[in-house]
Amino acid sequence: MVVDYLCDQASERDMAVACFYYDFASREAQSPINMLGSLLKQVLSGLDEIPVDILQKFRSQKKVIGGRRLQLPDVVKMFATVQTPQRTFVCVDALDECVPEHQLEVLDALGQILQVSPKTRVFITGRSHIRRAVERVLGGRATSVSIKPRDRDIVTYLRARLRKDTTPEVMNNGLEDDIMRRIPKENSES
Amino acid sequence: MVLGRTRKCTGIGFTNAWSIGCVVAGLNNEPRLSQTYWNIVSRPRALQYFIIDSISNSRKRRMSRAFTDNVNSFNVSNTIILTAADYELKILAWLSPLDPHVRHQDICGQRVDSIGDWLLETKEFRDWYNGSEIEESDHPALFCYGDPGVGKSYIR
Repeated sequence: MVVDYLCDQASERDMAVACFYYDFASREAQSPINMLGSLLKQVLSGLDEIPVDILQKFRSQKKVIGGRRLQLPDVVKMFATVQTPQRTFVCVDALDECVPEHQLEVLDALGQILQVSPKTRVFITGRSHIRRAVERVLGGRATSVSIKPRDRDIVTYLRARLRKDTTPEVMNNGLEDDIMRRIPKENSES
Repeated sequence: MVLGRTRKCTGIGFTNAWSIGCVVAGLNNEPRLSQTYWNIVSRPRALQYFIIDSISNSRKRRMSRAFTDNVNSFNVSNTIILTAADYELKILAWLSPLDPHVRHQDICGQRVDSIGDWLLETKEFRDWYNGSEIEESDHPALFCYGDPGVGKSYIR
């Protein structure tokens, strides 16, 4: 939703949006360098042209046999070269699903990107237990918001699900009322 | 569409190559065409790649030939644009093999409208989004946390 909101805004304003979703199942492929490279890739695809520094870097690594792999500091530097008047929004989902050793590395790199590229803003989601790591690495630069469904969200969700019920014939008003009453109640008590 | 005269492509560098001409390397670096570049494709993006690709003299000659065999202006301009796109794709693939768009589309399809909209109205989100002129009070990072299943991925 935030990504869509940002994308909607981006189509009207001069801004770039890049996002990354951590997924437990593909954690092997989601190394810090691949992840940050992917973010940079998205930012670049939105530009009219690829910055000369990045082209040069690409050219020079090709001279090494088999090509040289990118390193994290390279990517951070490249973010710095994308100095456009536009703001860049970077969204990272489920940081807790990334390999624990990589979490700090990624946070650290994001922190550096914020430093070298002041027009960048970072949005991160994750389980509560990584909050400490986020606040330690990003310090005062991060604000935290607790995500908990609002009662209104639950009601909307239940209505949407009930509308899609594949066996509406076994539903009766009593059961429906019960669902609509009890599930939101559980939520607000938890 | 105006085709400029083919000139020998010399001095491939960043600044002076425009007025001199362009050489395009196709896939696998096979020569595609050589072309003076006046106003055929007014795409600085495409141009940069050709310039940065330093090319040997023998290849330039082969490219010159390739161009003279290929005078159809539409073919020429298509080749230029495609080649520039190829080059760009190569660079992007080098940056990362991952493509997270698919997962975003997945989640969007399952999301129920308006749920979680409240986040966009929070002060934390607004402040993060708008930014603050005063560096000390600016928070360029926003961290949304919660228990498993509360919908973190759906709000992002």
